[in-house]
Amino acid sequence: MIRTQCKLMFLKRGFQISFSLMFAFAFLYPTFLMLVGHMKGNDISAVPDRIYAYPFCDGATASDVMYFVLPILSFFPFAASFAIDRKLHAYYPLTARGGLRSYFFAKAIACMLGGFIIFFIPLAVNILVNHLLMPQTMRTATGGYMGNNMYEQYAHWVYNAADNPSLQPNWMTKFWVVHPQLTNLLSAALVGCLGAVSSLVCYTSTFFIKKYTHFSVFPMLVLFTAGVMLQGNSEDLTMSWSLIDYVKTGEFCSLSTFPFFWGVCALLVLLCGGILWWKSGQDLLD
Amino acid sequence: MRKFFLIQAMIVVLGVVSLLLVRNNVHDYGLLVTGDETAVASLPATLRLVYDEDADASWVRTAEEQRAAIQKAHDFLGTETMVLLAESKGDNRYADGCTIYPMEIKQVLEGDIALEGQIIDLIRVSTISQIMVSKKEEAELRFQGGINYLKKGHTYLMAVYVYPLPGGKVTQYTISNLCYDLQNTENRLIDSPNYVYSDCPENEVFYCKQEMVDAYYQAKQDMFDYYGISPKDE
Repeated sequence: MIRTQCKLMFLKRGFQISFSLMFAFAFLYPTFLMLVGHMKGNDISAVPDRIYAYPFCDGATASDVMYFVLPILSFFPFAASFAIDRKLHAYYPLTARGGLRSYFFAKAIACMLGGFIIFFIPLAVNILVNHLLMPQTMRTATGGYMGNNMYEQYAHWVYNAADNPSLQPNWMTKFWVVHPQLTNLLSAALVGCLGAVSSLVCYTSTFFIKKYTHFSVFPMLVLFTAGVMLQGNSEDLTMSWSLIDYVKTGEFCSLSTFPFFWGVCALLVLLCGGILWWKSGQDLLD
Repeated sequence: MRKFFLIQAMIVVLGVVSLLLVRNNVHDYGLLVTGDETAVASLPATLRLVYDEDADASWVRTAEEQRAAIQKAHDFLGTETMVLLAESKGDNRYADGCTIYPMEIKQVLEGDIALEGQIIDLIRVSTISQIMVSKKEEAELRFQGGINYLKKGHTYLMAVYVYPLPGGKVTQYTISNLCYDLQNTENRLIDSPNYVYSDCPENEVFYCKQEMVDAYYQAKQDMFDYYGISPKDE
């Protein structure tokens, strides 16, 4: 059942379009950064370093609009599939052998896989392209330490920490200093996880929003927007209400409230699982 | 599905080609590999020095404030802080607002690490903190604390933060804002927005008011007195 649903998902135009959009964005984002530098007439030293050409880097303009884009993109892969099956009465043959419960949960797994893939693969490719083609404007300080010069970055952290105790570098900051591209890859995986959860919530919402299924992006949109608004311009860099902050490289390095992020994600998954369990025991003929 | 893969292949080609095309057209003034005043002054771009009319003497740290800042960093971070006399050997490297100076340590005035006689890389964060190019041939140059590059052959009194980097293999030495040239220097005042770097590459500091320059030299003299150094000692 899971394999069937995954195959269906890969063949869906929604998945292909959202993947293509994210893939094009991942490929064209470094060109955009370079072009902005070029149009202003900046020296190449003003072009962001390869490790900062990652769109979910702290401070990247692209990451500021992702709280809006992420739930919308994660809806398209497979979230509306049950609504379509219900409309076409196509789920009867699919549930005849495996039952409604395995049908719902197989769809949920396919949904999460789709949500993960459309973000993780393009972002991983973006990291590779940046590493190969973007300039290394942060030269090594003492000659080739891990290929990147994060000394300055680290020194800034330590300097700032003297005035702001909340900025004292933790193990994550140190990992970022030594392995910046691996930290970006970790961030890509976290974005994928958030995309998967968002996709699952959209899918579950279609059980309640039956007529205009596109509105099922709203729960996640509201959750992300509320987080951003609650966070506001807070200067406390150790905690954040905004889930998007937990997937941004640089930003998540300073956050000490990661259990909040995982707690919210786990709560959403459990809630959706509970709803699917409950719905699978109901008569769907309405 | 074949159409889908074809679209992805087209995106890859388009992305790579456009990135390479744009990269080949980005200006390279040479700042990325420039690390000293001679090289900066000879760059093809006009590097206009920032003129800040709101600045005043309170912007310049006194000797007391310098020492307090060093102590604060030491107390809070628990890092080793050293005060050194070090000579700049040239061949500096510049990297994204950070200049790396190979320097010979002449004397350790404060600190427990025996560095005398060694040539080590000292890093100064954000020597050029901002380079904004409004036109193709003109850039705006702003030095952190208004202090110029460290000059080759000159000896400096400086406080250095010692950071063992994660992994423990490399120790980073970062120059603090306490950094004074032992040689007597003369400064041209940047009293209008019309100065470019090549007008005054020999300046020790770039300040727009005489009171700021006076405050800087007063702090420098106080610091020399504190450590019992004379500019003639170099």
